[in-house]
Amino acid sequence: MRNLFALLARTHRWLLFLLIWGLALGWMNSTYSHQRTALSKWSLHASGSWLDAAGNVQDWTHLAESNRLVMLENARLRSELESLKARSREPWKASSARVLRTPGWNGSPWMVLGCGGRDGAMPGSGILSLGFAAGKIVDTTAHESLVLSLAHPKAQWSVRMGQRGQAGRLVAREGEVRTALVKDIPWAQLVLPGDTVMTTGFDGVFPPDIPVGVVEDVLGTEADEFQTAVVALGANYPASRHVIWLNQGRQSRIDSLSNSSNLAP
Amino acid sequence: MNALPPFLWTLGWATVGQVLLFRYGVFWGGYGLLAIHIYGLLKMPVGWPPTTYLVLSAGAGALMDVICLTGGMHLAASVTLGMAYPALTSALESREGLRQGHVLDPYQDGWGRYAAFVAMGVGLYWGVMFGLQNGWSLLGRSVAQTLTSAVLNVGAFLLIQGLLNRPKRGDARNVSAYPWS
Repeated sequence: MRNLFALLARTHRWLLFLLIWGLALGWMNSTYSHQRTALSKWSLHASGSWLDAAGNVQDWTHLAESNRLVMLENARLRSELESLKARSREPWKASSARVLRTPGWNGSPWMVLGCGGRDGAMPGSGILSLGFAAGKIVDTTAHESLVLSLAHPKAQWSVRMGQRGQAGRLVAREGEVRTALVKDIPWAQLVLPGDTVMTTGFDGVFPPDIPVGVVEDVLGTEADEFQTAVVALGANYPASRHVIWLNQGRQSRIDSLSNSSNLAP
Repeated sequence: MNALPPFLWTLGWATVGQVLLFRYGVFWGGYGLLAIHIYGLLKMPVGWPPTTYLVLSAGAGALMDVICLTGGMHLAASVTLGMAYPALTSALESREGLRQGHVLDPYQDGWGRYAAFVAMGVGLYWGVMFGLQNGWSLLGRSVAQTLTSAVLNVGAFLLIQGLLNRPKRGDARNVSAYPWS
């Protein structure tokens, strides 16, 4: 309060000047119709500009929300489509989750989500980011999930070139979260920059034909047995804020079979 | 000697003259207007607190608005002049500086310096007033009116100084430390 009084005392001349100017403008406003009209026009313009700016900000916030809803709807429709194509009785279920840690943050290839076992997430669920395959849940707590991303250098994923192309292995590069390599593509497969890389659905984590990324470059020579494609991952981890996790009833049954204790050759 | 009574006297007769006579002095189709009361405002002595300039100018402007029914225009212009007055006087001070209580005068400060001082004060006053009157859309007209009215008023003020404010013969006191000089 003392500082406020000190500020007022220091600026009292300017405050008085502005006050008298305000009085003069008010006086003019009540006397002259031309000035009154000009002032009202200006104030309408100023308030209109301000409302426009506020509306733009509000639209932007709504846009983020509607973008999230569109992504959710997109995932749901995609899973429905997959279920129709596979004529499966158990379609993929999609749910949204907030990203707490993204790959690339602190040099880690792991992703952490804000949903856990109590929200229905379970290990093995596939993760979509911005409509692209992004990884799978490997561990959960009550309210968080740890996701093995496509950027993890020790993980391999089954992908194919386009919807009908040859299948290959997607392997991440150490310390790189934006691109990965697709290996073991036969030379019979024509691969060009711009081609879309899709999931095969073989691993049971994702439905088939979920986009993974776009081919940026093709490596290898005719002497090599297979060609290798450099793929720009579509998941765009650094910008990922909300993701979709996919689940299917079959997954738990497959996991229980895989982890069965009486497995013996 | 208290500088307030002579200032109020000058401001008083200038304001009365403006209200009764000079406000009808409209020349060149409205491009040349007289504002003799500013002559009184420009007689404010150097060294007063800046807020005093502001309050006195605002009072004079408000009085003009009440009498001439100009609805706040003189108030806005005069309060701007009062705000800028310390800057105007310090901009025009000579190399020796200005002593406290000094009133700018062509016989002491020089005609050129005084004319520049009046031109800045009057130009600021008319600039604000014509700007408010004409608005942004008639900016060129406002500038032209400001320039012509400033020139007219500078001439009028110099004439008043020459006619009414000449130093009297007794003013030039031969005070010297040397009796033989």
